Amino acid sequence: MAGRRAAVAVTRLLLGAVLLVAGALKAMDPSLAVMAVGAYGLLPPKAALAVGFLLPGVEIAVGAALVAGFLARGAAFVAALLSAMFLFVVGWAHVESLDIACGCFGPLSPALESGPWTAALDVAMLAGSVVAGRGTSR
Amino acid sequence: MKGALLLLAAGALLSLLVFRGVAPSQLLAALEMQAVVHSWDAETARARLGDELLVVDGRGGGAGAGPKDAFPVPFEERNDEVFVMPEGRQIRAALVVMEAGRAREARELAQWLAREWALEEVATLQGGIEAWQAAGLPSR
Repeated sequence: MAGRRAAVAVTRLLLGAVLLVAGALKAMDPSLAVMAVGAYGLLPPKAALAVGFLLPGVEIAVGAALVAGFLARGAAFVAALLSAMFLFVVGWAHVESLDIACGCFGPLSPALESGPWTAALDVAMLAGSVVAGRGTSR
Repeated sequence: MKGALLLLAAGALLSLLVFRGVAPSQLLAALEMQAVVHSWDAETARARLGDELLVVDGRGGGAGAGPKDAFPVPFEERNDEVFVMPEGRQIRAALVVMEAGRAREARELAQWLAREWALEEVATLQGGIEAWQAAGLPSR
């Protein structure tokens, strides 16, 4: 039981840290975050602007909540939604044969292609969200 | 669920702070100009070769053999010179070919071409010039 609790706590901390770092890096150059959303061509410009606007703040808020263990269940739920959304757009980029930077980590992203490793990260985050959500009572 | 909504609201407030000083109208204009860049393999490139496709060589002047009849727009010089789209052809798409290790620059050049020449479609070649030559596509 204690081992399971420790595993859930580690998962929650790791997931929170990844989201916190991703959000903080996007916040360093918020325009880049918006353009990264637009580059997928999935949303009309105004919707891409809205999503790109919300992403850095939501990632920071959810990441911080997971790390702090505050509203952790709700945070895990939002993290799962974010991960599922990221996984969908990575799949979209693959199906549409897009040449695209993933946009995951703000200014670091132009060198990172959207591809298998980003899909793997999103799957890991989605699994981590489920583990953190199910193992948390609040 | 209440916790999730609270965090979304907190995130929106944080984003307001993050985007302080950024003009939404400028971002929207940039988004409207942004083109989707595709990634073609050599076989797709072979199938698309024709009057409507302009192959753009984004490598510098010192580069070796390149695609036959490619239009040179060296990545580093794209903003320093005026590059006029060749006339007499119904060009609708451009394929940027650079070295395999310069995928990021190729993508940026494709975006630039889409903006400057108002092209319907832009793409980069997977594997770059090395893939072009390995596939036996026409070279000079």
